Amino acid sequence: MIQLALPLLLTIAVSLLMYRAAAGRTARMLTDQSAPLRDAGLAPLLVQMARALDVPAIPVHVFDIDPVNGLAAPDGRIFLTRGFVQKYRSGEVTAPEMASVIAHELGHVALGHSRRRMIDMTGQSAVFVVLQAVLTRFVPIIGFWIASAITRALSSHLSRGAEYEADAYASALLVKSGIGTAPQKSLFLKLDRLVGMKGTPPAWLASHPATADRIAAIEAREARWHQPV
Amino acid sequence: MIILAALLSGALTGAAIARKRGGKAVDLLHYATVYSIGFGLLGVFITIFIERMA
Repeated sequence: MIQLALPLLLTIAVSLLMYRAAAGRTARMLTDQSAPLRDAGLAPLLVQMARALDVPAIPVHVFDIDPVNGLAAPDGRIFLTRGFVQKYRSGEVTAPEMASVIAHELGHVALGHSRRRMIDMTGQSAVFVVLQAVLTRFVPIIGFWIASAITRALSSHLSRGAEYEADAYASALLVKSGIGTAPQKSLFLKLDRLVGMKGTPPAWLASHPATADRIAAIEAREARWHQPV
Repeated sequence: MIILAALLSGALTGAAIARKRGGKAVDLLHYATVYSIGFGLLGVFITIFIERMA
């Protein structure tokens, strides 16, 4: 059976190596184009969150690009983009709202999402290879597109699940550190406009859940935790 | 998702083998199931290995 599984094993090995190479490149780029975030307004909130987590400090880095985003690197570092920090400095986003983004990214790190992502990306390439091989045989030409759509829908579904989990972690951390979930919700309301999205992709292809759904999930948690809204 | 890929390719491999050996539809299904379980198990081990390695 092992020799029959060889094509599968090779596909997995190749996509794993490709993923690791890409992750390595990203990590180097992040290191080269970032600086530690120092901000008097955010520092006390970071101290509050660090105390809630029982860690000495929460280091945050600024990634020198324009798009508004927060990200968690596979090695556990947390980045905010320069574009995002500028929105904060210009007063469009408040300090507690920035803290809610950092809490969300901490969630990705704490819940081991980058490792899961590595496995999913690897599996995704393998699924694509298999589907594509079958579909192009039975459905010429467009079989390739169908395979790619199915694979993308699958991975987006997993990605949305990870976002909900990180949101839940962030809610818990924000409540525990005394910041509360209000800034998390108010940021989501601003998010679509800040990111500058023109038209949203179809829900089943989006990597992040819709804003309304994310806010509804936070409110469901508040109700469960008996937290004043 | 590695497990899903393994299940899929196992089912394909099994069905192909059954067809080559001149099996009927139920034989194809039978082989597809067995191979998909075998491959899926392999997928579980690979997933655990990668998870531990990282």
